[in-house]
Amino acid sequence: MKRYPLFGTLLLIAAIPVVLFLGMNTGVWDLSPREVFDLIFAPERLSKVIIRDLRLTRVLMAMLSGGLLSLGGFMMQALVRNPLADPYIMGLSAGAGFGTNLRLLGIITVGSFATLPVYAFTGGCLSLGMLLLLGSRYLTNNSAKLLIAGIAVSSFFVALTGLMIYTSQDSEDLRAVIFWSFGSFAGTSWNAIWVSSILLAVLWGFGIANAHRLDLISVGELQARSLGMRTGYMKLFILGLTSLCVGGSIAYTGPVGFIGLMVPHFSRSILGGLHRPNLIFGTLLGAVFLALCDLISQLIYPPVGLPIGILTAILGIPFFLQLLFSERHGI
Amino acid sequence: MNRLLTAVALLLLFGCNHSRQQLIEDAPLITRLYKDDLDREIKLSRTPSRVVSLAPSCTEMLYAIGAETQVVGCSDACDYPTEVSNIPSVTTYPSLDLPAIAELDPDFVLATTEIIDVREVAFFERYGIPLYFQDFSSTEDIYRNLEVLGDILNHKEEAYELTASLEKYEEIIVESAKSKVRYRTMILIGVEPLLVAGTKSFISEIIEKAGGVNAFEGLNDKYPVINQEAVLSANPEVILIPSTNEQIYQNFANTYPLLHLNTIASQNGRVYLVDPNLVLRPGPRTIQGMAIIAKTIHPSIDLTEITE
Repeated sequence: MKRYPLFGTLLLIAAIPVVLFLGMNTGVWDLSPREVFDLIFAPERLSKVIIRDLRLTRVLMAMLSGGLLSLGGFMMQALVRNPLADPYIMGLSAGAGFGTNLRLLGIITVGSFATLPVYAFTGGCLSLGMLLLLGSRYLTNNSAKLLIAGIAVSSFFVALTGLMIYTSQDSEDLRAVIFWSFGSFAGTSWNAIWVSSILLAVLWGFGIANAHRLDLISVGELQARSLGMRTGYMKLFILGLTSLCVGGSIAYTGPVGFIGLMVPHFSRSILGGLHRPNLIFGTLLGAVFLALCDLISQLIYPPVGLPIGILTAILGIPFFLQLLFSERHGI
Repeated sequence: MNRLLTAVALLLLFGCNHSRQQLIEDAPLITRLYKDDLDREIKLSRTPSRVVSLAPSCTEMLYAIGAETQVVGCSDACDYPTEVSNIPSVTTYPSLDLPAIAELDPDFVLATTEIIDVREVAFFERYGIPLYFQDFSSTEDIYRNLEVLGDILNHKEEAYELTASLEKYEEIIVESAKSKVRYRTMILIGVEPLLVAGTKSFISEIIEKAGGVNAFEGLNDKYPVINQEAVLSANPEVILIPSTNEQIYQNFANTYPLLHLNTIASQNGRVYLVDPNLVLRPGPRTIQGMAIIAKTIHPSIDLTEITE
């Protein structure tokens, strides 16, 4: 194990309020940093609504989602003992997308658009269910097959979504679908922030408390079992919890690819393979990184911002390829 | 011998197969040259008799100038006037049905940048089908296009009469809306993402003439995607939704509770549905749409003469 990066962790913690303040300064309405700062303590008015309910929620959601996706990446990679796994590749995003599009395209019309997260979460659970069904036989002895099953499930739900989009007649609905599928943190409600905060706390707490078990699982099934661990249940539990927490955040933001791949990879290359330091450092890193990405997207493509999924994929794919061909990191 | 054969052949070709009458009909007339709104050249050697319209607004224009007998194809969305339902459709939503268009063998195709992608010209240029693209940023463009169509399709008189009466009505509306308070008006085209009419759209000009002002004055696109902050900064006093679906505002309010709570228009209950076929189609009924918008923004204006 390499040295625990106390300095780096403190730096990331210090970066959080800075990024939040930067986020509160990014937008169409021209306000100086001084005015923004004063508005934090000012009585209710329209500019304060903008700063608090539009800008702050956006940057907070980006952070929470960055943290959750990174955590999800660590978990899934430990689970399948393969650094190529992440919520996006394993089909969770595709399942969530399927659920969301069921509502967006009006195939199911129960509830308003405010209930979209419920649909996304249900879709995520559906894809997880399929993955478990496909992978249950191999869950205890072949993790590579679980990864491949994940890719298959992902393709299946992407195809179903494509079918719905292709046969849809309403152009207004289609625009909403395309918009969601790029991923965006704009227009997040405080409810979404609270829910995502709880999900992050649960997953983070679980991860840190079980870091040594994750280490064991990622070393190998046999070793873990010979040390007395019931790996089957543990794996099932990790998969379920990760799907719940990460699926919940995808529901609010749309699929944001490659954060779960890129951040754990980067973190491990600094800290080595042990999970406890990685989970602490990597989650903070993911949070700050994704929030910064979103700020950059708003700066280069105002006012709406470049779809965040595009930016993270462009930044993420070189990492992915490097990881794919690198021999150094087998975890 | 060869020369003799050639002479006989020529004689057969011109002397027997074609009557004198036929020759005159087939001979190219004086080629007329037009430029469409994309600055493309369109050469026509005779008055088009097989016209295909690719958009509802184009079809309405063709019918309004009395060229309905020349129309042989239209789009799925064309629904006015009702006789259009007998005309075969050349679109399979959301794209053009190019084989169907080719099969109709049109000698003039009419499209508009409002809904047809300008890249579609490639197909028509490759097969030498004259395609006329209309582009609108004001009512002036509508009148000009009606008159050009009248000229191309040999319905000059009707076109001029139509534009004259439309111009007269427009003047009445502008006159009665002139002295009114100009409310900041937002035209909500799409809910997710938020899509509004920018200053380059022709509706924006209609809003100005109907006694409002486009709430998004800085946005230079036709139909830009914006975010919630842009709506709150613009803070519209009137929101017009070109749709017949009453659910749309409910969707809007559910998706953006902040906008529902904080815009002046929502607070004062000044959110209205307007007939999309009248206000989104740049055509002969646009002035009727303008009257409706004027009456919606300023209920005190009396324009019953035009709206009916």
